[in-house]
Amino acid sequence: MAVSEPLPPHVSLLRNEKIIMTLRRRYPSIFTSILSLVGAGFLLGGSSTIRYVAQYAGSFENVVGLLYVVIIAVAAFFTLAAVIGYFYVRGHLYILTDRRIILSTKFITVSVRDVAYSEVTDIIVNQGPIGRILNYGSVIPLSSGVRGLYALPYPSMRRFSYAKVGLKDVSQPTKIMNELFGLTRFRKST
Amino acid sequence: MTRLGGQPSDSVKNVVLPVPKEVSIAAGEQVLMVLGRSYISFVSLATIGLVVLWVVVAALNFYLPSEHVWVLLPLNVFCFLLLPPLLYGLGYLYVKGHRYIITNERIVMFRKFIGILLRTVTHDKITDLIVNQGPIGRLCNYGRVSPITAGMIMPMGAVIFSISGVGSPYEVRDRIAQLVKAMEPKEQ
Repeated sequence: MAVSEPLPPHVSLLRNEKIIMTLRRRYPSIFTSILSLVGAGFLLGGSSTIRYVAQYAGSFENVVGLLYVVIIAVAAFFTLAAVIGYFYVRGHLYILTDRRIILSTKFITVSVRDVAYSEVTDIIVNQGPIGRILNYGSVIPLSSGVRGLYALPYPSMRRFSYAKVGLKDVSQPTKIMNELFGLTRFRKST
Repeated sequence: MTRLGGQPSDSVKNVVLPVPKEVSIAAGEQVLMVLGRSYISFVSLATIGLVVLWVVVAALNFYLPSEHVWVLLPLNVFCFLLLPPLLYGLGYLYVKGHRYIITNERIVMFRKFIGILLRTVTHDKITDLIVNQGPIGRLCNYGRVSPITAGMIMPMGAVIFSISGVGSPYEVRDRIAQLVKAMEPKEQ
């Protein structure tokens, strides 16, 4: 949480608007995303791949050679994902001002959502098991425009959004939720 | 269920539940109720699921050809011996992880089981209150109270992010309705 960070060019403040805190996405969160992606891929195609290898690899030497190729491919994938993931995570910036929440993402494309505190209807906190250990999680402020379907805890049921709708994988999410409640509590929608 | 403010209820149990450490109460905010989920609400759901599974496994026992019978032994052991204690044991922890905190300003729905899922909604944003009671819920007096807002619409707001399996759901609904009414601007 810092307030002295320079603002990106696609974010501008209103007159007399003050930044209360600036939040960033945590880098370790990208590894859980990669692992869940790999896990889903393995569940979908793992068994058929193993069956294919067992059927057509032939000799034991071929199987061992293929295993080396798989290990190198997996290591290369993880390294590439970790490097790209670093820049992806660096592109997330969340700003809480005294009037609104600004959620900005810049990675190949740029998306910015800003929502006034008076329009926030619900605040959802979602923290996975690894997030609980490393103390990060997502805080999603819902409004009548961005509804609960984007905040479901089950990724397969969650509606896809090309823009970021929540403060994804920020440190101390329950504390941030309490701060957000403090900012929204006395504001009525106009 | 405990009431830290307001009038005590006749039919609710006087069990003191603590507010989880993840939820902090703001200055000037007053906790009115801390509710927990009743274990019977989980048991009824889990039992229905188990019975359906047992029927499927029993049908497999009858209809599977005799050369595949070796597959059924581990399946039977898992479904009939291991799964019930596992389900009811984990279910107990799952139920214990639920807390619903009703303050004079908001409702906090909190679930801590493996991960954490939390929803907070201020009373002035609630548009509808829905109460659902199944047949066993009607017998055992528990049900689901769903505070619906413009952001948390049906059906998700009514199922996943709701006050599930609480005792005396109509009393809880009435209490929330009073708080919602109190937050409304006075009519001219």
